[in-house]
Amino acid sequence: MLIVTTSEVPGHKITEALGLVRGTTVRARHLGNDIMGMFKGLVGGEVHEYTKVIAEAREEAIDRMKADAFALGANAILGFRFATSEVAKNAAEVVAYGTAVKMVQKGS
Amino acid sequence: MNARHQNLAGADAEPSEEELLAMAYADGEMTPEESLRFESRMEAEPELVHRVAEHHALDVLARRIAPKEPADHDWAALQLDPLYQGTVGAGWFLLIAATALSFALAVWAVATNEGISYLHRGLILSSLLGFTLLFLTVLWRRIRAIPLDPYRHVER
Repeated sequence: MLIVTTSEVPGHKITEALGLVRGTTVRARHLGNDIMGMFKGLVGGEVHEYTKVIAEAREEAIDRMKADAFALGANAILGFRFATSEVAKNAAEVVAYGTAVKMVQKGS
Repeated sequence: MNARHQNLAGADAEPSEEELLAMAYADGEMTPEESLRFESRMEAEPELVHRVAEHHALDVLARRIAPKEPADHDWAALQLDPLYQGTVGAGWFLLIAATALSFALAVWAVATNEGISYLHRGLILSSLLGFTLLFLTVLWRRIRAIPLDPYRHVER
């Protein structure tokens, strides 16, 4: 499935707009990560423990959004965006959303 | 050929078929058969050679301006350093052992403290037992769910 941040894809035409699709997840770090992250915060540099939890949440949110789009019969998601927020002190919330469409190559 | 190229190249003007093929060839995304076909075309069409060279030059430029970052194997080597592993392991062992022992001592101190009534001792110990049960239940569920979590291997 093609996922793009743009509202159109060169060489393709949209035949049907199927509406909003989204995927949401909240993933938490475990206490061990928080302890190591706290120490890394003291000395500087990348805090890999936090990078990892955000990356996990991002991939999970994208997969859920794609599942949402598949269920609608879409073959592409346009205008894809991420949104993040903090629902708990030790958790990362990621929302992935976009517009599910059916599209075909121009000329076909 | 990768659909990604169609997105990236088409931001301003739609790329030609030759441009897309040159990009795929330069990025090594063709099958061996496609590569052979494209190489035989390059022998007859110098313009294609020029396009591939342009994409190689762009790759080199992109690598030069990209921020330097240790490769994954460099990170792995740092993690495998015996001194790092030893100090981190000893640190975790001392922290966990001392925390567990402190918890056990606190429970023991409450349970055997004659200055606290049986009712209060019962309430405090029940709270601690409830906390422990809830924690162990969540921990057990997490351990069982780990093999079912495909995202735990995502690193960045």
